[in-house]
Amino acid sequence: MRTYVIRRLLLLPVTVLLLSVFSFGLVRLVPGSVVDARLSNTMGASASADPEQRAALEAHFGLDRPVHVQYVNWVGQVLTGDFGTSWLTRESIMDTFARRMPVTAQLLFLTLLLYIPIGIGTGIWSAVRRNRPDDYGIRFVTVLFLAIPNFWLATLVVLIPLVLWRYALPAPYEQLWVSPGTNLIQMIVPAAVAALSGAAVLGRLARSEMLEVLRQDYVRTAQAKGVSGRIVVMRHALRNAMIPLITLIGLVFADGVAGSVIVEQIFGLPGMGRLLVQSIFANDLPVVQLWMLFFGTAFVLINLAVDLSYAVFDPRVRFQ
Amino acid sequence: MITAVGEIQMLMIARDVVEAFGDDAIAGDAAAAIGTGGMQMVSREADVETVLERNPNYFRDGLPYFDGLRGNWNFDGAYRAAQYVAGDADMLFFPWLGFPAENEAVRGQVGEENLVEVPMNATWNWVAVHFHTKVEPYTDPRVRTALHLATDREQLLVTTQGVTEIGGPISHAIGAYAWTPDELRQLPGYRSGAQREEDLAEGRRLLDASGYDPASAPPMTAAAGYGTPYAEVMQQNFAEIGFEVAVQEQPDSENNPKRAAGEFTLTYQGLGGAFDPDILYGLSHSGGGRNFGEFSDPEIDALLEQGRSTLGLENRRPIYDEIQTKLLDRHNPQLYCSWGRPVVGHRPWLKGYGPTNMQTAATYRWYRSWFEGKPGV
Amino acid sequence: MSAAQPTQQPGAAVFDEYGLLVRPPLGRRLRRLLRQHPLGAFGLLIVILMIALAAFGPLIAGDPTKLSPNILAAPGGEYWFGTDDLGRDYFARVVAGARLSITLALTAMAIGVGFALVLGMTSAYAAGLFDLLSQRVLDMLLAFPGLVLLLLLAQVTGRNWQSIALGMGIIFTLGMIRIVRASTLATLGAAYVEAARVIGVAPFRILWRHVLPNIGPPLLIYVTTLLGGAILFEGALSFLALGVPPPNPSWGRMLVESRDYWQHTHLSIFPGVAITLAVLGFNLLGDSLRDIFDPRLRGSD
Repeated sequence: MRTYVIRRLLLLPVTVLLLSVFSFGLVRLVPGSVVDARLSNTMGASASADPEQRAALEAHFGLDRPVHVQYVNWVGQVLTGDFGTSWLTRESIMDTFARRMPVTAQLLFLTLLLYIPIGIGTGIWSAVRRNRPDDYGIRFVTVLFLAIPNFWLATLVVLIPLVLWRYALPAPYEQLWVSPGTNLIQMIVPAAVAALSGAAVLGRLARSEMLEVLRQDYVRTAQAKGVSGRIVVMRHALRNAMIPLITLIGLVFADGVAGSVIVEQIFGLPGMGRLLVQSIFANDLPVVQLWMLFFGTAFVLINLAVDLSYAVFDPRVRFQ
Repeated sequence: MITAVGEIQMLMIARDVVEAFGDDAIAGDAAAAIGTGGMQMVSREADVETVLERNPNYFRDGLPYFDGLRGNWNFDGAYRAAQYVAGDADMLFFPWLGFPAENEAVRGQVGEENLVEVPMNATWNWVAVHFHTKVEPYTDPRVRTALHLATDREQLLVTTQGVTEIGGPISHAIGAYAWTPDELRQLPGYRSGAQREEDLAEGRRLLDASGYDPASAPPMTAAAGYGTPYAEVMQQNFAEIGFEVAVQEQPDSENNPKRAAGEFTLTYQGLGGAFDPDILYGLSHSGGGRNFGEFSDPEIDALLEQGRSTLGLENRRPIYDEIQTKLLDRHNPQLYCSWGRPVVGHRPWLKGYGPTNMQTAATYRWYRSWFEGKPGV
Repeated sequence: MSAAQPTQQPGAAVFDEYGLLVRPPLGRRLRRLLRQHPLGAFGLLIVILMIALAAFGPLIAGDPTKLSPNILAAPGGEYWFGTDDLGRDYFARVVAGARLSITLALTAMAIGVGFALVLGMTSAYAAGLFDLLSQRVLDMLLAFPGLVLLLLLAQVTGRNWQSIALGMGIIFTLGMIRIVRASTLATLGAAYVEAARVIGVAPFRILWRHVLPNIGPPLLIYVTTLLGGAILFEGALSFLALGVPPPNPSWGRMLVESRDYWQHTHLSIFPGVAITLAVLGFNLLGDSLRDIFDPRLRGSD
């Protein structure tokens, strides 16, 4: 157990280092340069040809130095807590993240709140009633939600209440601590859209975990002893099926982040997903690479925490 | 308070202000941008909203009537239309209602009686394709002219469902200097029916004569969403004379800087005009600020310089006629398509609202607008 | 030995006189599939129909790019599915979209499976430092949601359907390497494979003869689900203006464009239903394949 924890902890910095190299490297492969955009925006088209101005701007952005020097500088800055400034808005990236992070965090939280009970509930029901009509029904509906593109679902969610009842979600975005009521309405609908698409994934995994547990000897023994079906499920099977499901939290997180990229666009939420899209299109490299590093690290940490807690709960892992 | 949905350009800040304070100061501290207009900025949150309030020091007494304005930035068409249709916003701001789809959707939902249209200054939303004249194969004026001849303006008009009108180099909003749509329809490239077949044949001939390399044509970039339909029509039109070009969509946030940086090769764009034919100087003079395609021709340069230094309609008109003729017949640094009929839609209870005779969206008569009979007020 | 008749209990496995499994006739197998996995059979039907549509549809449908002045026509009459905002035949576009979406999904999948097999089997076979390092790189890449990676890859590789397929293929590779590696490791540990290694059978032959067949079933399940995922990915990319460029009509692009014309419901219903049905078909099929092939679930009926 101890060696397992130590091994995982030792690998953490390696993974994060790889993350930083990858984040830095990938954004630099994107063609197009911020220098061109900046030159033409401020000086007009003819200025983009002026080599002196170009050199000055490149020096300003640090683009004149070799790539590995740029990388080392960047890592050094991030380690000292200096996240740099956006090339697009010239705002400190720390401030931008601080403003946008709560939006996405709240969205993710609400998504999870809806996602986990729907996913696990339908999965278990479906497993217990395997190959009966309600199993088919649930599987069909969850797979149907998985099959509807989430941007279409979101559009329908906006348009159907509009056409039927002339209702539109309140706009613009309000912060939770300024007007909680408005904020919750604005957030719960996009969260539900994200959750419905994602819950199907969780549901089918929960179903197969549950099926696995249901055919274990101790469950069969309990059934043979005449313990009622409900008690078998609640007391024996559910608890044991939940342990492997913990490992899915990482997946749920990744799904939620991917969903936020789409959902924030449609519902006008100023979160991290929208920031990423804007920054990618504007070639705002510092923001994109930090975004990647930030979410990548968060994901790795979540998975680490999950694996460790899994090791604590499951004796088979503990004594390996 | 009034809520406007989909503001694209609430404020214009003079360049000297930007240079004096820097973008950071202006973006971070709204109060740094104090103007002399009727409204001044209270707060601004990127992608969310802009709040304006009455400028107590406005130079006209008793104006503006409104205490303030709340602009709500909405980039998603369906969501934006929903806000207006549901009555949460009093105005659907430029240029969204100029998009045919949105115009139609909103009109169908709220009904004609609930939508007052304020046509904007027609020099706005000028649709043209900019060729990059330093990039193969658009270096050859024959290629550009062939594409001009191939473009089916009538199909473009159908596609935009009547919110645009056919256009030449000078917008018909600049009435005295412009050629009217009817005059344009007599010209090669603008004609239809059998005459269009002649134009297409001439286009093919020019294209063959230029000896361009078909594989060299780089993609035509288009602003995703509203630009794509135009690009798709032109792509088909060009194919009729055997010119195959790919279309590359990109969001505005990517399209505009690339266009400005000259990284495009053939690009669709909307463009604000002005009330003087001198707009052509910026677009087509070798030193022009909006000459993104780096077009350069000494004769056109000379004529443009002559045009801006000449006084009087009767003296200037022949100069600009000559410029337009030369541009269309020979150079086509841009492919002139149409002018939008950009429209601001608002509820009938908003009174006194209309464009000023300036060219920008930001100078609407907010200061003279008021509410009358708004339900629940 | 007297002429042994194959045992004929309904539903049970049938063996011939040498004790070998006799495959029941196709008709009976299909009936059994239908009875035991009705959803899977439904999914299979949809998938077959979609592939047929992609293969033969464009032969009967008209030109999907031909412009006409008859814009936004309602379905019926000359245009079965109506026309779009440029007056193009929507039926022809939906059919052409089937070809594009299915081709894109299959290409991405082929790229993904190819990469995953090579990298996963190499990693498992080579073991040691190479395996450790490649697993760490994989961990790192899996730390990003697929859509986010795809967004960046689409920016790097450009916007045509080939590079979109490549980008999706790379994303799919990441998910499949794990499966390939685990199956490879499991098979390499089996006694008969150990024996083959000991007597000096070439690594490539071992991988080809013994490992590959064992990777098949788990990979097939995953691939089926990912084919649906590819169609959804394409839609999400179109939504972000990174999809397959015009004039090629993809379902995703059509559905995205229809968002503006929401008054004309036919524009969103046809591509929307097409995407949903196709993804549904692939997923239902994948679910049932999982039930059929997953050894943990086998025999639990």
